[in-house]
Amino acid sequence: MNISRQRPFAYLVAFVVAGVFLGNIFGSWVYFTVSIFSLSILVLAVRSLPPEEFEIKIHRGSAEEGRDVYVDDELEITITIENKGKKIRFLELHDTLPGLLDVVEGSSHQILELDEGEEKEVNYKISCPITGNFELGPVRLRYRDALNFFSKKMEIDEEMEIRVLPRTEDMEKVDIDPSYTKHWLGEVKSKNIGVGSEFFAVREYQPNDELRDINWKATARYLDPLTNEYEGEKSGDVILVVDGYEEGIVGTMKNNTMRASIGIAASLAEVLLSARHRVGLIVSGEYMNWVYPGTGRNHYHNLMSNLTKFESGGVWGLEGIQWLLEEFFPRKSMIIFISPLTVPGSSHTLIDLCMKEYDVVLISPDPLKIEKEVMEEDEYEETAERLYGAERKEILDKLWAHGTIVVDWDPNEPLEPTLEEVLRYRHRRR
Amino acid sequence: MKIERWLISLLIFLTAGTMSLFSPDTVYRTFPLIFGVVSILGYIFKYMFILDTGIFLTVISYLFAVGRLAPTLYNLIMIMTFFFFIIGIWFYARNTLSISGMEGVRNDSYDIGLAEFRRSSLNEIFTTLVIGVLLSLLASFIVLYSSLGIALGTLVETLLMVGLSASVFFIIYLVIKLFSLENKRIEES
Repeated sequence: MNISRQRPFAYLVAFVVAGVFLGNIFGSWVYFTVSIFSLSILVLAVRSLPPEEFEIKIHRGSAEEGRDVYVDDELEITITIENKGKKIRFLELHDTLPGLLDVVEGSSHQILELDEGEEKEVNYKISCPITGNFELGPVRLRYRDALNFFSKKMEIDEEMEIRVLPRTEDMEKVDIDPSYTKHWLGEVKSKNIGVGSEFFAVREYQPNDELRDINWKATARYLDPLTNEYEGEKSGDVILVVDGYEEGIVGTMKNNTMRASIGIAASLAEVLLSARHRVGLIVSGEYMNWVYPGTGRNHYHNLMSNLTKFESGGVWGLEGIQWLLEEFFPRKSMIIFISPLTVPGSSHTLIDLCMKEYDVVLISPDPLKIEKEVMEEDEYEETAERLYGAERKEILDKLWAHGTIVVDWDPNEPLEPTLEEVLRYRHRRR
Repeated sequence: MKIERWLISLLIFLTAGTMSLFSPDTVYRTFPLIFGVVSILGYIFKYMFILDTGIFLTVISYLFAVGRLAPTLYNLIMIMTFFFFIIGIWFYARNTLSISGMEGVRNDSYDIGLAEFRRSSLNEIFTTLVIGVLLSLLASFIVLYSSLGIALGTLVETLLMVGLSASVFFIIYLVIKLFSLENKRIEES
């Protein structure tokens, strides 16, 4: 954090020295005068010297601090800068932002003039186009004078973390029910009699029956106490598996298959948890993030937090998903595999899981639709599209044949109608 | 912004050209113009080093061109005018280049701070040059007086000597201060 002298300063000093030397060598008054001119400017430069000590206090804050930030949300950042030292005439402030965050209003780069004891606020708005954990800062300050003689750089470690969560789609109409239910209560009608809200039959009263379950009308008619029986409503385990292999991601940083998959996983997690299912998560990339099935609001936040973590590198392959599911997750869970199927071998993994009695649903964001969206018209090859489309259709048909429920989804459209249609078909097939 | 760039280039060219034109007819005469063009190229292509060096060489070559001029008040004022003019344009050109560098990282028209910086810089450059000219005039007058050997009254001579000595000591003090900047750490709180 030193004061550095810039080139104009050095050149003016050179004029002074050269003037004296050349004036003596050539015996000319002209060189001496230039020394005098340069010296007079250098003397005046003393006025532009930076203060000996910068006493600057900086605080970065946001009204939305501590709240959940979702994709495409705008976040207002306020940097408060207080000068506790002497007057600073030209202070350049530059807040370092991660490249993926866009400044949509104001600027993170400002020029300030601060009087002694003055406090100023710099406001700007950023937009968060993708999910993830982002770190803002440090704040870089640079003093420089108008003549460009001196500059002084400072870096203040005022950092702020933002966790951008995926935006969820409203999928109230979607009714995902696992084929295998567990003992705990839920919303899926099981084939057994139990605790529920749907009337099933009337039977003779037995000791320990709840008083509220007695069917008083039937009791009065048959003069014998009778009790209502209900269809048991249970819930199951659902594991969301998000294919996050970097090699298989299609699209740009802001619009890609991974982003679409994460958004859908978040929406499904919300729907499934509100239906009282236990939801687990595997984000399969080269590093594997996984969360054991659970319920409740805290668990939802845990899932979201893991969905935003995506790291490249590592050694995990597709067989890792299968191993994790078999070793750590409950058997006969429903598996919702969200994948564009761009990684070779994905279909084999799914078929293997179907063979092992898992209830597998594949939601596949169509990479072609994303590619078409992000590419220029003249770059787009229709023959290649047809070839890839045929190849993809063949894989999807093969998966259908092996018992996977396949949802071929256009990521530019909402998932709900497509998913609803496929799930209705699944109900009928059962 | 483009008009400003062309205007500054034109000003450098005209100043360097006039410097050449007003120089005695020697082999060094065209050098200020050539180096002026070099600095224009540096300015247009945003190479700060070429701009700075071009200006430096323009001034030095001009000194070579006018090195044999007689020490008269007319010549002194002419050299001083050219020097301060080219230095003023240089400072302003550097300023516009650094501002355009700042605009490179901005992505909107939120430029209140930048406009303030531009205005203050221009003001600062102008003030420095005006006071610089006055200081130089005073110092050069003393130099000229001593070289021309103009006879002045004892009182005027004494006052000039006192003024000269005070100025020299003051300048020495300021230059020492300039070169002994203490690099202190910034107090962060």
